[in-house]
Amino acid sequence: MPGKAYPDVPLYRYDWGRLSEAAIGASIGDVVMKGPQCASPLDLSLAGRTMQIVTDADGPNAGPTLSYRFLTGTRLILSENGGDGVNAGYSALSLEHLTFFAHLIPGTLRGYAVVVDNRTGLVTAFELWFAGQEAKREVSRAVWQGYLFEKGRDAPPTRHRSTNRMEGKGLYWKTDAGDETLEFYPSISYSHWVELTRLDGRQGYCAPSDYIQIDDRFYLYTRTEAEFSGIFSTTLIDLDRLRQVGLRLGFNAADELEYRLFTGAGEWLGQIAQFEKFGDVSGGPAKPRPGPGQTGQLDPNAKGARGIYRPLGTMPKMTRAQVDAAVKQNTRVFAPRTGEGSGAAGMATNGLPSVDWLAGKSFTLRYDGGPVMDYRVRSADELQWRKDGGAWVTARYQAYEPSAGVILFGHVLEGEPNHDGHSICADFVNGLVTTFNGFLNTPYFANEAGARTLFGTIEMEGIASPGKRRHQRTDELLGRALTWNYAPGLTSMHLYSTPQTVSWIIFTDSGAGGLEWSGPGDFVKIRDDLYFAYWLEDACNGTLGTIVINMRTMHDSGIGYHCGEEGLSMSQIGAHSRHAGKFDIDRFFKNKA
Amino acid sequence: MEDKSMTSRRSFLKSGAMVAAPVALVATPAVAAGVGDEELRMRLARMVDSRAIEALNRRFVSQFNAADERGLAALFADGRAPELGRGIARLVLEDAAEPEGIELSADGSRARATYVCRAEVEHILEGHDTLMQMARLQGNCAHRTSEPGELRIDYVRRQGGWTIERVRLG
Repeated sequence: MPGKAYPDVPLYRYDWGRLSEAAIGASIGDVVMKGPQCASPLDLSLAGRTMQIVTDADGPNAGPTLSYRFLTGTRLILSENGGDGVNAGYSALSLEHLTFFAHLIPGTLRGYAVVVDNRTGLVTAFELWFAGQEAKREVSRAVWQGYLFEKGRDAPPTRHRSTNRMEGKGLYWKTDAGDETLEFYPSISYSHWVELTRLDGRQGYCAPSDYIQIDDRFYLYTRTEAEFSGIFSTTLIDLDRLRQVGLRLGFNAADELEYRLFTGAGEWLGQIAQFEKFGDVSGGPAKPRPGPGQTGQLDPNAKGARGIYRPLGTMPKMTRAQVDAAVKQNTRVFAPRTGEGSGAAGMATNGLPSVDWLAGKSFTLRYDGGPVMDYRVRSADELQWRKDGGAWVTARYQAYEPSAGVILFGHVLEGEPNHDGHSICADFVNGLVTTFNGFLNTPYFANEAGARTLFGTIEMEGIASPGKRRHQRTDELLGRALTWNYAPGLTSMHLYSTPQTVSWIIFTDSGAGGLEWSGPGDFVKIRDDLYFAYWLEDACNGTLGTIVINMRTMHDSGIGYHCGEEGLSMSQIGAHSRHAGKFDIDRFFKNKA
Repeated sequence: MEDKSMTSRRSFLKSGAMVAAPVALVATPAVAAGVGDEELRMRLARMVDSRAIEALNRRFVSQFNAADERGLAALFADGRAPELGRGIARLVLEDAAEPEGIELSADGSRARATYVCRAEVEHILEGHDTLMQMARLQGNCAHRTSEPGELRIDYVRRQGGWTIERVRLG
């Protein structure tokens, strides 16, 4: 039963309706002759014009030829590839010398959004259709580059083109409908956005995107909310004056068809670094590319094909009983992470060496509101713990020293009903501790990790009591982007886009931002330039990732906690970092953190 | 079928040499060389076949390197792109290598050629971490190595011209 247009739960938690082609067709039938709605005055200057658009092939797919006759009002007649003319409603907006119009096609699940450069005659046409993906509500798109055909004139030699010139930018937008979003473009094939008004602004999301350069000022951006509503939006952006016109097409959480043009005004959030070679301005999209070790039937030559990360479908979803059995059968704590043959250590290849700093020490970690954890550390990799004065339990652990006197160590709490794991950042100089307490048996999928943030103190001989001082949550990482090189060929970038969001972008082999996803996070300041953060791979892989970020050494030290069909694991994470920059977004989250 | 006698061994020539060779062949006065009309006609036919096979081979290497599965499949007699081996991402034909030659069957319906090449092999990012999965999905690899090899290709003539019957990399 569809509910609100914009749900109260995170988008990846919402049970999106499985709309049928008939239902989609019926909704299109209601609006197709009216054209998209718009809160701003439309551009009616196309009335009486004809337009023949010739587009190029995209790989093996021939581009369409689109012949338009614009009637009075908001009606047009379209002939595709010389076929019969079809009457449809449309709407148009203009942005300086550029005209943007969109329409659907009666009797089909298809339509077009078209941008015409009236100076150069160059055109970008987005062909849009429903029912092209497993979720029929998800809008598919093909991008056709072409030009306005004029008899007797040669085809222009240039085209609008995919580009990385938008990569690294961030913009705040407010549309004529009052919708406010933060948009981040840290990739050439994905983007990240935060809904400040339609949703509560806590969680940022990621979606496959296109970036097309019209000229040095004007760009086209698209976003398809794959894995969520499937809504497609495209905007024509004036990067210099921060204005936009665009189309929003798709079904919201109430299964209502949103089909409207909009205008918007932007605010500059900043530009982070790019990591391609200088001179490389090539763009996406990332074609589906079954690389080595990748299975799956992906056709890079299909119309509109691109790589779309669909994590929920590939995530193992386990019951509580399955989790209990898997944990009992196989719990691996700081075992080698990778499969046979590689000899590498995956996400710990660039990790810090483990330390024996804790060996021989006994201490108590007293968390506010509990629990009280007593430790007797026997060696560099074995300790005993007891919780709230209970029985002592022996556990394997590893410890790292990401900053002098700050020890990160982790262990699994065997015997706990939810198979807890503690990733502990203990400052033995100041007597303070923060722990990310991972646990399983969470409400959606039992193998998906949840996390609690525990603040407390260290009681140990020779350490003065910190009194009421504690580590504090921080917004000092908000808006920052940090790259993480874990191993050869494996470099990501974190973008901390809200006080509760970690987004991660995977660089391609050429250093461009590629696939991107995001999940909930938390951020704690340990010392100046030293932070403890976690991210949860909700509806993705179920992992809890925890890292201490040292922004002086630009190295992190971390611990991952994960449960899958292969069992429960706790393992090292470590990477070299570069600071890609910081978006200016603090003002959007004042009093919200 | 593969063992049909191969006759008329002819040097396999690449790049610029491919053009030069036929010119030299045609420029040689037939009478002076003591070659009859029929023999000349056969040699010209074999030359045309060799050039067509060389062109087909260039398309094969180009489309393999572009990971153009559809284009690649169209070059094959059975319409299916080949599996050359795990992780092989790119083939580089050795310009300086001694040509191994194109062997044409007596009836002109089949051919076989061997090319000295280097194969660039992508070594996979192993592991089940989300980042590994995403990196693999977009084609990232841990690292590449370049390994010497021989590309052995069998060709078969179809109505529309030469197609590839089988490719082996050894």
